[in-house]
Amino acid sequence: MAALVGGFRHEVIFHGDGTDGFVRQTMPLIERALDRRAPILVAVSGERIVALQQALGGRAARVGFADIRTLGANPARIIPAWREFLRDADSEGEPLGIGEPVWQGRSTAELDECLRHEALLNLAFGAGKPWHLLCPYDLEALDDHVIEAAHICHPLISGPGCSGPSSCYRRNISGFDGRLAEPATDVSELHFGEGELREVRRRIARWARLEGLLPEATQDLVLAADEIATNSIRHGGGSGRLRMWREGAALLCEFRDRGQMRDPLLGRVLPGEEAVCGRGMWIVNQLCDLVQVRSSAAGSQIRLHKRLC
Amino acid sequence: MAAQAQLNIDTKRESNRVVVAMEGELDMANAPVLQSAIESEELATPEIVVLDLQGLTFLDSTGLRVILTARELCRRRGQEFAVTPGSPQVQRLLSVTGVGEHLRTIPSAGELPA
Repeated sequence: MAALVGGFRHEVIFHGDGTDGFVRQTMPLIERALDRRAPILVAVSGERIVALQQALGGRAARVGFADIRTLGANPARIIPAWREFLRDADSEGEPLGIGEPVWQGRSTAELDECLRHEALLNLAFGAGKPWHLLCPYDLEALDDHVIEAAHICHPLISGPGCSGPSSCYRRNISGFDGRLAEPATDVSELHFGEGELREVRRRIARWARLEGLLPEATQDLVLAADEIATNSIRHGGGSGRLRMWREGAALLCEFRDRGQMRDPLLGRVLPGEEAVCGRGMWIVNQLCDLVQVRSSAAGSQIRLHKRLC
Repeated sequence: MAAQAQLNIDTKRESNRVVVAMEGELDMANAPVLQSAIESEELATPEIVVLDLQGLTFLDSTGLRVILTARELCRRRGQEFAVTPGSPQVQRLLSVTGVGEHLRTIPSAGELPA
């Protein structure tokens, strides 16, 4: 059972038949957890929440629900949510989580980050207390390469005709590996160094306003960008390069510098109130709709996505 | 220097309290300005230290770190420490970092910490 990660059971559950199939596959596990009086949190789409609540009837009151499309639009916010669930869970029975970070309609960039998130779950919870996390993947709605990737980042699989350890599970997937595809459009560019943070903020604010981003969202994007630019100046060799462009209905800001990020869970753990540093990436994950980090000895590339609506 | 023009600090002593009012942007470039203000002699003796954030137009995690350093310094000296609410941007930062709920916040610099 080498594929098992400590007491944490991270299992992909393949199903077909949309929401009905999802309910059929997950109900027996929820019922068993209810019998054990285990804490349960289900983080899936609103439609699936309603269907499960109907199937559970009065017992739904003993299950926690969260809309994954709000909670996990940026998948980097999902690990903190599970951490909070486990912290608040009383000790009776092994906690059960059902989380659906991957759904039909996610963009290529989102899917890439979702699968990195799935791999990071093994790292985040592998050495912690025992609990069971089920990740439903809809076989009919998702592309084959997504299903294949799910086999790689989940130690356990279950579904029609298969159940048990995943034979192609890979334990050591780095969240920062690889490079991001180059933008397919013209970009605005700014090189910045120490003393030019204010200029970075001013340029992004002006550009975002012109692109039609609402004032509050602009304020969030400016703060997120300031945090990354500060990191570039402090840890990335004293300077960095900013590129800005629009991709569909989202504004993208990308930073490159010479620094290397080492902690793959950076930005997915809220530093304690007394902490001196480590808040930058946390803030960025809270304020952006998607954050992509690629980092190696050659430098770092951090891309922030902010949706226009 | 340009950096100083972006953050003005006004320290006022009023009987048992000292109010440090900030105007402008508190980021990595300006954090040292606040840092030296909180280390000044003027702040060492009053019973209450208030950081007035109302005039801050921008705050990031580097600026927040200096504010938390000030609070820690006050704690060690046995002084009361409080902040005023600050702009929506400041409140947004305090909220997403979870720091806001642990900071003693008073409506305005003239109020007594509860």
